[in-house]
Amino acid sequence: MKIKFKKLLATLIIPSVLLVGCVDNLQDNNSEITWVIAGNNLFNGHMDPHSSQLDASAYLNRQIFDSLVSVDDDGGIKPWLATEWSVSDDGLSYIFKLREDVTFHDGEKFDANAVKANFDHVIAKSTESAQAASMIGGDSFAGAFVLDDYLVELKLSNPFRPLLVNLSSAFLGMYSPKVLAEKSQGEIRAGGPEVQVGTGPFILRESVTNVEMLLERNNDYHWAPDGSRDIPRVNALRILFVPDESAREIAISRGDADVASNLSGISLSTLPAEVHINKTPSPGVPYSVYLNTKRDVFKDVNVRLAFAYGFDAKKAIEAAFQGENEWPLSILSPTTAQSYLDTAKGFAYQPDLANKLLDESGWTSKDAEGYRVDAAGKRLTVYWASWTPFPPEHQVIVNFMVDDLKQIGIELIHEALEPAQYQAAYSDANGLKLDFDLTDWSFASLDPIVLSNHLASGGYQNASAVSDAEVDAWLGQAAIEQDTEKRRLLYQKVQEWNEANAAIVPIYLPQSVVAFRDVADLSFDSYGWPLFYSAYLL
Amino acid sequence: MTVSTPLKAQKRLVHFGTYLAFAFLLVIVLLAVFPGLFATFGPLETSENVRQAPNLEHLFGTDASGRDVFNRMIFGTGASLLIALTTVTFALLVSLTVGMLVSIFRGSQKITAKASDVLLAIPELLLALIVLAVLGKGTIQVGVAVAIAVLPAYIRVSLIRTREILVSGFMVTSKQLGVSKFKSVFTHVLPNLLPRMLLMAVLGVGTSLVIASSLSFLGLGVQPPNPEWGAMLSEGRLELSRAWWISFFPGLMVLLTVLALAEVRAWLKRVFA
Repeated sequence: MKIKFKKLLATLIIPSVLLVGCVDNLQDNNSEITWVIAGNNLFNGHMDPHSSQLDASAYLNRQIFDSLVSVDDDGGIKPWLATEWSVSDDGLSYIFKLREDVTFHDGEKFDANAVKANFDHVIAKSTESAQAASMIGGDSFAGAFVLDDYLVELKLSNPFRPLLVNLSSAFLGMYSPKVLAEKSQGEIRAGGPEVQVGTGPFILRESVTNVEMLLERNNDYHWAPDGSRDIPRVNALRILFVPDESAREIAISRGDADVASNLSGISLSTLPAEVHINKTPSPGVPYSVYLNTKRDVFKDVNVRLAFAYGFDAKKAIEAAFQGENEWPLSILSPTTAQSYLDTAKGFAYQPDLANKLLDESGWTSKDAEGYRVDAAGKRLTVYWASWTPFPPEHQVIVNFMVDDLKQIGIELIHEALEPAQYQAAYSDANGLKLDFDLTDWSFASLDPIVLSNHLASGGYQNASAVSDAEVDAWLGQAAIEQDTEKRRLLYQKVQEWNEANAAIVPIYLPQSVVAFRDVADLSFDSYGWPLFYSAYLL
Repeated sequence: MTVSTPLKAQKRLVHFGTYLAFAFLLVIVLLAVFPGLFATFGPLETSENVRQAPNLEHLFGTDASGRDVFNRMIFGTGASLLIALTTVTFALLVSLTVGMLVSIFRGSQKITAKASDVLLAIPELLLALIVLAVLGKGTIQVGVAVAIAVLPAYIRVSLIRTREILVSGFMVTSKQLGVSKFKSVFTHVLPNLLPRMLLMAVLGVGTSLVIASSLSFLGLGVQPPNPEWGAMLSEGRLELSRAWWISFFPGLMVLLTVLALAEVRAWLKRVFA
């Protein structure tokens, strides 16, 4: 009987031990999370977060590159690669004390020289930074200076209020100084295992253009932004690039992917129960159309306002997203720091007002198809250029706009151009070319400073071609203003100016939607983008 | 096991299916030429009633923008057929001209045949895609691409038929009687070449329709929000799990049109046989 009991015990225990061993082994050594993202355009020279402005460049590189500071859920600034910092009273000097135990994936030491090399790269002319340079103040940034091995100073010529928040962004992630010294800017833009070298939780091992990337756990990582000293719990992170949303939806539904990004509301209704959703409203500029105020019919503010009031955005986004996304009242998302214009009315659908404005501007005659024509018989047509792939939800919005605008006599022609074609229409060597009447995008940003890119003269995303001295003054003052309420009022003025001028017409409030299954402890940053350093497979 | 067809049925030139095919094609032509007569909604007219299943108000349902699929299909008929008919007419005219020219300049037969063989080695859709890579996307571009893609096959058939005609007894006799090459092209070559090429062209409309629809499906042809069968199929492809009708009906129209054209070709073959 005794022997039998021992046998029974052995029968129960040995497989259990083996099983536990296997599970443990899977979790800690062999597990791999598959993350499916849209990643549109990333392989067209957008792998360098210092030069690219694409959200995808930031959230992908976040897994590879760390920043000096991080932002917690309440918007507070927390240490990361910098343990502490001080800001001078005049707001022109920031001194950071750095961690002394951090190494890059290629073995290089993280120190003050590495930080200086990174900021030098961001502001270098050859980098042609579309986003990162403006996040450190643009022309106001006077440089990074090494004070000690682990002490670095960032100097400004003018105060730049959002600097600390912006330093938490992946756009200002820290490259290995060896990469910055040895690789050309072309190579850095193209990215790859020898180039995307940071201090982050994952190391890029393989990259197949437009197909996938394989990231392996950084076994030295113990400087996570949440303060944990654990290395990532999964062995690898496989990123699949799938531009087609329905394919991403199928991948997460079938379990081919563990995490899926860039999903819209319409996908969510069909996902199986075991798939969990994280939705975070995106801060920054909502998905909007940018009316080119310097071109053809949109030079006339009445035509721009008629356009803005001439389509029912609420109806369009209800159809496109089935109630998952909201209509914005202003050109800043309500989740952007300090800045929402409470009194904003937005461009609510007012076809009578739109007709009146067009009549006032002399567009009184109509052709056989019902479109307005000028005295010479030229039709009131506006050309909207986007780039491919153009999401089907956005196509639904276009369809509604085409129909609504036809009712007031405006012909809207939309075209989704190939990225290279779009780039050629957008800018050339002389700067912004804007060879279209309107274009579209949303722009994530925690700080309202993002309006400077879009509305200040010379702003790199000023697709509305605005050059207004008053707007420039408000935006310039807001960038340096230390008083929160005064700053809020300055941005309110900018938003009110836009309501009167319709340079930017907001259409819907985007949100970062991430679906995941059988994954625990996945965390999300302030933009709602996933962070994998603590995640593991169940 | 073989099944022998009754002699009576073999002799019948017009089947019930032939009537059906003609009736269907007549409707298609009417839809293409007078879409306004059948339409109850505009092709671009949106509504909040998105993804409605087929019902009495919307016979083929509505799409993701609340547009009536039946009406968009009607308005899309013109674009789909226009590309197919234009390309076939172009291919027909070019191939007839080539047939006539090689019967005058007989030394050019071999080189023309080799040139068409080289192009025939490339699948039609691939050839069309190559052309579009150069021209860019758009309705006219797709028309040109399809025309170039289908042309080699027409030229090849035209060359084979021309060679048959040139070695036939009546051509030999005509030559012995001293009829000039130029004259015999119009009296002998063209009248004997035309029926064969017409037969090919009838089915060719279907082939061109499928290629044009495929290119529009890939987003290279008619641009949204304008309707076209291939483009509509593409729009509905992402909605298959939610709203099958958006893709189903345009796809069905392409299928039925190609079947009807095949039946008409079979009828023509019986008539000319």
